[in-house]
Amino acid sequence: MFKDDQLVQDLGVQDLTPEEQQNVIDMYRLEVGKALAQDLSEEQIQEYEAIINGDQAVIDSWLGAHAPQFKESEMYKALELGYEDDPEKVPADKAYASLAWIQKNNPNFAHAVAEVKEKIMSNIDQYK
Amino acid sequence: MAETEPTSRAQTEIDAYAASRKAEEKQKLLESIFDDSVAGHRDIDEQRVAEGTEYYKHLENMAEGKTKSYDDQLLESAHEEANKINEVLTGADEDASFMELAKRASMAKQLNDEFSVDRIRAIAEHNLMVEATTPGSEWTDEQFHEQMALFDKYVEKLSGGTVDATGNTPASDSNTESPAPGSNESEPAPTDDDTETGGEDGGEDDTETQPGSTIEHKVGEAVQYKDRNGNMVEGKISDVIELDNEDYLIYRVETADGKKTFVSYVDSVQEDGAPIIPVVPGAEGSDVPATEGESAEEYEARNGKTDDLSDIIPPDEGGEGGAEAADPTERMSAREKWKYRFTILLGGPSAWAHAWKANKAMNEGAGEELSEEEKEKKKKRNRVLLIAGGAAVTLVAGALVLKGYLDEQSANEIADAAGDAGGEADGEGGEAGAEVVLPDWRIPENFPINPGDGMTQGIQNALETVGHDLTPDQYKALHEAITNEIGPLYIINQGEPSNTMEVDPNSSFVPGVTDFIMEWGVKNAGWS
Repeated sequence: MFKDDQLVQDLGVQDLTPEEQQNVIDMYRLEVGKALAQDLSEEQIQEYEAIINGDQAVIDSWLGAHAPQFKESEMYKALELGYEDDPEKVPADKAYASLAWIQKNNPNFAHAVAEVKEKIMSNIDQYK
Repeated sequence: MAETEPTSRAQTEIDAYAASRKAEEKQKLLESIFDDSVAGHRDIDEQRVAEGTEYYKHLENMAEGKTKSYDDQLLESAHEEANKINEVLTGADEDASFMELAKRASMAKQLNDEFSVDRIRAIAEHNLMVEATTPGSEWTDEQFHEQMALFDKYVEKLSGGTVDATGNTPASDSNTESPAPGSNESEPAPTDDDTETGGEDGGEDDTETQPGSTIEHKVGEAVQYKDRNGNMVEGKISDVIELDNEDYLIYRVETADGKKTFVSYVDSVQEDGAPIIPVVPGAEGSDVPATEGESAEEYEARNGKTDDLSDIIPPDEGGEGGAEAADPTERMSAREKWKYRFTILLGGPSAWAHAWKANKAMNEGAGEELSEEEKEKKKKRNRVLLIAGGAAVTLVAGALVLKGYLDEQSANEIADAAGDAGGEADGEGGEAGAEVVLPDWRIPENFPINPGDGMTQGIQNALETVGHDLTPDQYKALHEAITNEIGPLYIINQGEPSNTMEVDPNSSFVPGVTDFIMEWGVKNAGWS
């Protein structure tokens, strides 16, 4: 399982307070998002925003165009399985689309994550 | 290196810093032109700015020796100060001076941002170590530790708004401490805060604290203030001017030579010239002492609102930080409070810090000097980036537990079971366990094998026919990946799977190889 506490381990911030850890994790995510955005157009970002805001028309349209067989994917099935346990009932197609969209529009995302992670971790060393 | 050099250096910076504090007087005046009457309102009210500016110009024209462009200077200095404070929480500390770092750390401390305090202190320690170990100026360990102790003391002093039961700040104690070891100089007083919070005596009638505002002084009262050059000037108040809709006062102070100057902050002085300490209501020495066991709220109900920060921190953004800052035991000095009040009005770092605690990274940038519409737009954008970044982090981790990544409504675990489908984590994004969305373009069915071409060159030939390429290392890695995943005979050459290439204008990949190459390219070469 990969939860925030595992991110804490991954980033090596176990010694920080929970609040500080959360700040670092949020910073990590935000910086990755900024790195991804460098390769995105305004239209693309707006499309992603519509997806994460649950705009069903955009979600359906995007999935239909880019991942018509998404319901067969393991990722979707896993998301769907978790729906009942999700207090907020985040639709699996929304969750799936928001992940798949990143892969489609930021295929280099893994490199961005790695770079930001290295940057974050090197800064953490300063205030550990 | 001379034994006293470290302290001398700090002294120089302290002097420079003290001189820079002159801008604060200007800032406080500026505050009167901002509308902070609405909780959560951070923006400059343009109309109020115009009105305030006109009013201030009027005041300025009445004062001697001031120029008409003073308003502009005020705005510039205020914005510079806001930007400087902003750096506390946004970094850019590496090149800051020792004293500047102490100042920034103190700001962070006042914001209860221990995270930044530690970070800035670490930078100061690093910078100091660099200086201490510079060839030709090696310090002793004692000297180094003295300097760090000095740093801590300055941070405490600069953030010395905490007023204890006797009306003193912890920092005021340091005035009587011995100079740092190795120094032949007395410890400097780095700020003028001492004049408002230091000393031992208090309880003068004319230092009563106004509810929710600053100290009120009376006409004829002996006071001192700091002029634009950082010099302390003494005089008597000849006028007290109340600004419209503000509990903030402007004083006209007449000096012995008859010169009258408008200032927004003065300290009372006794006949012997010693500053009088403002007394916190309810503290020892106050005109209206708190009763035993009386809470701050009870005291407020009985005597009016105490001088805490609840009036300057929007309740909707206070969050944890706001609650902490409003703790009456953690008071800022009046001067510092005004500074932060000001920065909040500008949407400055104080507001940003509290917003961070409440909404964390989504509010990044809220501290910039943006219009309400722009700030809202930026917040929305940050939210998108935060979620997108969280999605990417999740994908790379091979994780499908989406807690905290989607948005504030979906900060929960979607499914523990989801993680089981995640596959192996891969720092390169390889086995992310998620479906890979392939690009629209496809590798051609046939490609040429030319004289001397090998397997890797065959892949290159195939990709080049559709305008794509990889680095030599990537070609090598791809060849190895295909060999491992599918087998060594992955090219059909002259009609048969083979790993010995012959000239063939219509070679092709064995089934499954093109899809494998496409997925590999998406994950490792950024294909889209």
